Amino acid sequence: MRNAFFIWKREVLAYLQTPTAYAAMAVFLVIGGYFFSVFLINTQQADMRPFFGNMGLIMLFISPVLTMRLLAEETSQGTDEILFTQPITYTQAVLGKYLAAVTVFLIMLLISGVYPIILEYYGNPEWGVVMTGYLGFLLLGSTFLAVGLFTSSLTDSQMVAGIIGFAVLLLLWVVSWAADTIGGTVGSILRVMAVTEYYQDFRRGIIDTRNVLFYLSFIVGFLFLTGRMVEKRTWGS
Amino acid sequence: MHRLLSGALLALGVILLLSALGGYVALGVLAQWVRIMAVAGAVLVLGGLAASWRQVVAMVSSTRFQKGTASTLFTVAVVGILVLINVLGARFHHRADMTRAGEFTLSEQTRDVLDLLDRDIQVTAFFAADSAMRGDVSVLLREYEIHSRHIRVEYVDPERNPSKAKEYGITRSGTIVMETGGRRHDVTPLSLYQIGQSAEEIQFRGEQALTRGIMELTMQVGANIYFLTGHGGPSIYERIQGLRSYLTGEGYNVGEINLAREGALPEDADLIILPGPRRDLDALEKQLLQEFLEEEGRLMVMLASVAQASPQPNLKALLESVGIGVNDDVVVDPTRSYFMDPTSPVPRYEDHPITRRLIDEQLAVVFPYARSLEILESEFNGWNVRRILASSRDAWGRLNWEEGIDREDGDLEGPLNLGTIVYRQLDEEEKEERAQDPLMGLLEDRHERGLVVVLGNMDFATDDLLGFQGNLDFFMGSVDWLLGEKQLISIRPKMPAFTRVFLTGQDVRMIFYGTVVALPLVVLVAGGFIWFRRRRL
Repeated sequence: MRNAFFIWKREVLAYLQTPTAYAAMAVFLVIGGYFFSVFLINTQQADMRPFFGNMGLIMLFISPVLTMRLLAEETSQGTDEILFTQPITYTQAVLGKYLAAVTVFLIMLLISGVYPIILEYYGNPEWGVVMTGYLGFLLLGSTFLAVGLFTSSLTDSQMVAGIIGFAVLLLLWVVSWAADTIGGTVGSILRVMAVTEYYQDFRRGIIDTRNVLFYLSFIVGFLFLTGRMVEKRTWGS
Repeated sequence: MHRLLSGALLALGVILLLSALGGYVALGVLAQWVRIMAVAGAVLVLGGLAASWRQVVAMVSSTRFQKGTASTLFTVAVVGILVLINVLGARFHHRADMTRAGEFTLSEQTRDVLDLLDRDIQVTAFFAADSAMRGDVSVLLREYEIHSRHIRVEYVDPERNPSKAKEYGITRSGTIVMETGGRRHDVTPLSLYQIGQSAEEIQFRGEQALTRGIMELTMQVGANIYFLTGHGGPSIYERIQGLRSYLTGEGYNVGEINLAREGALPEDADLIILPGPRRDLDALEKQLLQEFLEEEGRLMVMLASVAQASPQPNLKALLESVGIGVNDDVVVDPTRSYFMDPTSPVPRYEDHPITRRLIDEQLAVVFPYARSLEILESEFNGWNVRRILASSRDAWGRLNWEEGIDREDGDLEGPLNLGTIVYRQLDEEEKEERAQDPLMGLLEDRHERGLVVVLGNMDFATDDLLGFQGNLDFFMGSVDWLLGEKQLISIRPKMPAFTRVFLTGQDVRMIFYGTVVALPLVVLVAGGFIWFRRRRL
């Protein structure tokens, strides 16, 4: 576990020392701030729900940007052999890198905590609903990051990783949206995969263990696949 | 060449199979061409494998393949376990509603009703895609679905799927159809929303409408209401259309009948309503109604104002036979009146199931140009008579109303009766019957059996005034009480937390520039600073 911690630390420092993370955070805050203030001003309601609704889509763009370098870079720079000849397991490496991305995401979320504080200053927001919304958003974003990490493990090129990541996430998004419109058996199958559907409950202020479980399984699943993929690529033919 | 051929066969075969699958999914049925494609695809795949048989064997026996397969199987297993965990998790899950008002928590009454549900109910909600109601309804129906396995919900857009809408006879978007074992109950959009205290406040009463619908479906009753015509009062196709709509929306069957012409009451009549009669009943009508009452048929009379009505001796005699007298007065109430007009009294409520919700939610009823009633006997033949609406003490019943409303000696003294009811307690047999049905046990205060409701006013229920505060509720409450049974479940809507903010122009500017410009700038500066420092080193 200490190894995972080292990887984590190394990656977080890497994030903090390159412009990517800051740019991503700034974009997140600009767009988030815009949504937040426009909704607040127009509806005059102390409500974070519209913010959460729109930011899900933004995370779709930001996640690949954050994760694309995590594994692709190693492979392209050749540092992956160095990394993996160390006495660490694939699991620890993947975990460390993943958690680093999540940490950056958490920092973004924490900074966005200014918004509900503004609401509290001017009005009377429902804190239970706000915290639940953040929980859901955290889970959704973490899921996107796990998918992004996986796509990063598929290729040498950061660019390709980013594009594939974005494509996969977009596909997931579309599936969720389509699941709502298409009825019948196909619709029900799609609805199971509808990543954003599970998010709706959180947005409204409902914590359902089913939804939490879904996101955690999704994350575990993709991290597992990432591990397999890394192993295969490093020692494969 | 061989390799190329077998490869091509395989590829073609797989494409055919996938297309067949796609076709099946898109059409939803195994069409002829789908079948042909599937078979052709399978044949090609097998052919391709057979053509490169030796390569296939070699591949399968190689360690690489076996290791690879083992690895794949391991992956599949892990994914399978995750899926299984989720399936189990779906069965045994816990759901917490974090809203202050418990907006997503079903009321205890609904949960009780759902827990008692022993048969499947198919709910089909017809909502246009852009319907404003759909949001509230879908969230609510989701909670119902989660709470009971017996509830299955399907959404149909009547614009996208007009044939289905026609099949169900749906004319307006917003109707929710509930079906079970051949029976059907419709929840109309009218019963989903009701007006609160102020005209702007619209309350979503979906939970009440849906739960009542479920009870209606699974309990035995479905009552028939007939409005009597031929006395110059308003018709349900004209000035009191609202009554018809709301009653039908609640699941009652509503019709009109001209008793003098028909010569007999319909056999299936559960409730007869006399809406603001201006002319008297004739002898036959009086007799028929008398017999109807003797057989414990229910009657509701909304009296027309004395200025509009003729003397009506037969009608009065009929009401006297159930202990109620009718005064030929105009009620003038300077203390409790609507907009300072003393001839539009706002009655006081006496506590009773009919008035309870109105009392709780402080909803008023207004009776413009009303008549007062007398309780001639508070008890007769096991029936009790009491009032539920009264004027204030300071009111008077103006007898010479043609000469103005100022009080004179001889005018009736307040407090005056504006609404009276006749009822009796349930006998042992009825109580037994009630006790046996667990759903009945959920109803509040069902110890009475109503017979008659007489109100000193008709105008409150006309389309012009029905929307005023408690008017509709009071009317529906009276009907529900008379017909007894499930409708008396009343579920309060959840009041969402008040989250209004008030921002000055300066606040707006500060918030906007603060969040869109300042905050991200801080992050970029911090980043730039760290990056710069790093470069220096």
